[in-house]
Amino acid sequence: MIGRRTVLLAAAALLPAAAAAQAPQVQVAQPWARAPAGAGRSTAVYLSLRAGGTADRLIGVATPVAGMAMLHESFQDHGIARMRMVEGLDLPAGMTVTLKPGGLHIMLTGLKQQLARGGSFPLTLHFANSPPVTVTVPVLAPGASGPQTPG
Amino acid sequence: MTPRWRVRLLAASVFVLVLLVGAGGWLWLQQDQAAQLGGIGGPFALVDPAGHTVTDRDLRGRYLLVYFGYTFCPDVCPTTLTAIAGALDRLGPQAAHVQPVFITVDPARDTPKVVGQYAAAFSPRILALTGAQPAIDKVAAEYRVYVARHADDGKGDYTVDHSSIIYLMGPDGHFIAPIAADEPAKAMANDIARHLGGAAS
Repeated sequence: MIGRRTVLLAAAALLPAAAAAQAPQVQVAQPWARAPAGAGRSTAVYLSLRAGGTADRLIGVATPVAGMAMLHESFQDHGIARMRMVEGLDLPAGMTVTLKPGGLHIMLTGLKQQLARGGSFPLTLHFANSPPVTVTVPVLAPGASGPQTPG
Repeated sequence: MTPRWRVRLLAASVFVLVLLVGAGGWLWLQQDQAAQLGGIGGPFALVDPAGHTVTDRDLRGRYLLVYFGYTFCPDVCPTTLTAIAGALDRLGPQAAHVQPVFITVDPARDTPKVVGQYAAAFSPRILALTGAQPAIDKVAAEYRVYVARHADDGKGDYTVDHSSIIYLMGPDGHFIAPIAADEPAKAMANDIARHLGGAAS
């Protein structure tokens, strides 16, 4: 009897955690992009991601405004600027991961429409555990260096 | 001489020898580096956004900040050009002596008009240059710029790995120092100002 009660109690204790695990949510904050500095030129989206109580992984990005959206990382290798495609990005529980100029970014190529400064466009992020999140990305000046930069 | 003194003398000799070899090696490395750095830059004839030829001689009398990139560059080039524009703003009157020059490593896609629009989006002060592929190859070799085009994705899109160093050239056309391209504007302005000494107004 005691054994069964203990098991039931343990199961009850696990319930809230199980419910949280079923609906993890990644918070996406401060998305922004630079207006491409020329017609048809590529650009990049930057933002912050924060997984809640459960670790997650960014596994895909999509936007109707670009032929291709890819998670990319710029890095310096002996003074050479290189880029590599990043298959996925681990989001540790409770930690903020920031995509910013000169490092991780979402590269947009083959733009289907002009991304003019002052405009915005939708971007959908896909995660391994959480449901997809769609955010509105404001388009800042080509020379913007962060989400706080005015216009 | 007692055996103990012999050991001490030997130890002292070895110590001096190591010092000499070390100092010699250090000097040699410094010289080698200086020779290499001294060899950066050279004559070029490129095309400005208006379609006019611009040579290295046309730019004498000003400090140059020479940066190589390409307009399809989604992240690093905009970041660097933004920092250069910000650094010039911070240099104030000193900026009048400094001419930033953006040279494309992708002349196939970067026509004079395109590079002009691109650079102007960051700052009207940046002179954008392109040219025929052999002219670009020549100037890239003179500045020891590494360029590697990545495979085409089939839709004509490709990225280019390239040296991301800003070359500070003196008014006489000689190389002065590399400026880190991944610094924020403030640090870049300080870095540039340190080398401008005599040009401050």
